[in-house]
Amino acid sequence: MTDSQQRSELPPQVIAEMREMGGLRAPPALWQGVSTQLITDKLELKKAPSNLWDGVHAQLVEEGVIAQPTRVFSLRPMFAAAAALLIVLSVAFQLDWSGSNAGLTPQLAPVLSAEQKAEFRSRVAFIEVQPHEMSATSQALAAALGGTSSEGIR
Amino acid sequence: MRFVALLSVSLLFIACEQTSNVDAVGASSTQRAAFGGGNLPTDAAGFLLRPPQFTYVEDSTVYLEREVEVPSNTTAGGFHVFHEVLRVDGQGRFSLNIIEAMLAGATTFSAPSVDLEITYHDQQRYMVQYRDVHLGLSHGLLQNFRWTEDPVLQQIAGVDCLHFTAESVYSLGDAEFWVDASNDMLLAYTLFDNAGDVTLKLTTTVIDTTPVHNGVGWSSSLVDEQIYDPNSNTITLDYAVSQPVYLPPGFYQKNARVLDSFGMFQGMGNMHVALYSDGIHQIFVAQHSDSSSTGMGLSSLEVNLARYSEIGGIRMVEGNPPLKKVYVVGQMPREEIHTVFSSLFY
Repeated sequence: MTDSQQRSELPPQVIAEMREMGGLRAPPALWQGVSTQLITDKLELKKAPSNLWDGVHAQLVEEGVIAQPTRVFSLRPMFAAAAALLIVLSVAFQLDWSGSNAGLTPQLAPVLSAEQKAEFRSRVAFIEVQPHEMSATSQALAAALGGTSSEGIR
Repeated sequence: MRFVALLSVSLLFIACEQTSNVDAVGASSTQRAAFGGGNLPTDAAGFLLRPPQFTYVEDSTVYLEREVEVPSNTTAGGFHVFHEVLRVDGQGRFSLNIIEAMLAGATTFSAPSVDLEITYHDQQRYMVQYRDVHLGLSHGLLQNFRWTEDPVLQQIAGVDCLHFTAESVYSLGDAEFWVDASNDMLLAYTLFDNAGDVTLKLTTTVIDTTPVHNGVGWSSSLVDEQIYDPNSNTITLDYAVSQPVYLPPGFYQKNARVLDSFGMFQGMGNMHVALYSDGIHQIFVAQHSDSSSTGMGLSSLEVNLARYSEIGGIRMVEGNPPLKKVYVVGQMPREEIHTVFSSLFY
């Protein structure tokens, strides 16, 4: 199935609503989160061969792990797209009216090249010392993470 | 309006389905002790599709004895082993004390030094809060690590445990976890550095889930602290907080606090401590004003000087730009800690 075919599954009303949004862009963190969720959803929907599923399911029902068949929505991609749209609208509303982005999944730090990292380090000269020559504050922070010497903090 | 209502109903259905899935996972969790491990869904390569979820000892009522191994950082190598007791009352109170220690090269435990006892007494609250692993956000755990579950149960302190391995996708250090198969309580873990060497190994050796806690001196904070919010904090800062421009890949800020540390040492002001994590490893970036300091580096055009050291698998850097002291301390390779520290000056 191509991307254009997938898009054509959206109801015309949804497409119209999206077009009315013009050039509104979601924050990159949101797109990352939504795309991750969609990929995860896609993986979860992969079905096992029917004979394997029937065997496992019968076993689980017999053991009381599940009482009845789990409902799977055949139109789930459409609902996911609709949910994503609603989230975009909610976020846009929140950004417009509260000026806050609290609650979004935090952005994970990207990979930087060795050259970029070396450029940072070029501004500092590091002098290696014995642990007990560090300040009590450094030793306390290290101890809080499990960095304890045989003598404790000195 | 009809459109929003339709979407809301759709979301409700999806939410119901999610709940159904969670229930199924929960049900299988109670069953899996009988079947063994390796029951969480995996992709074609055998990696878990979702990171495991743990429960933590400080949320229960329990008496535990544990052995903690940390690198000695001596030329002879080897590990120090600390035998400790953790008591938790189920009401949010806990205490962590050291019973005995086996220093690197020794073959038997002996009484800990007074300094080591004092360190445990002072740091117990923070050791449980920070040293003891508490998994971070699923988002980070899934993107930063490849998770596998051992199909065979392993025993920790006589308890059947699931065994999980987290492999760092950025080669920043792997980890292994053992959790009670009946309640997902984390009982043991091992952290490795980027070279594959152990940096911290904690193993529970005794578990008593019906303890009687008599005469226990429960831990308390050394100083008052607040979640950092400059608009409402009563613990105020007299300097601009420096933020690291660089973090190791996959890291994010877990929280930030201000500590009422004014006057603890000569010239010391209140401290700002930010905690960064990739979901398993952690880095502190701390800073406070220091009126006694003239600075080791004089301006942004000059090279700053900083002290560096390692202790028990933890790397520390500290430096004092004018009228301030800054610290970067964490469970990361030397180069990463140096780069985070250096990026504070950009």
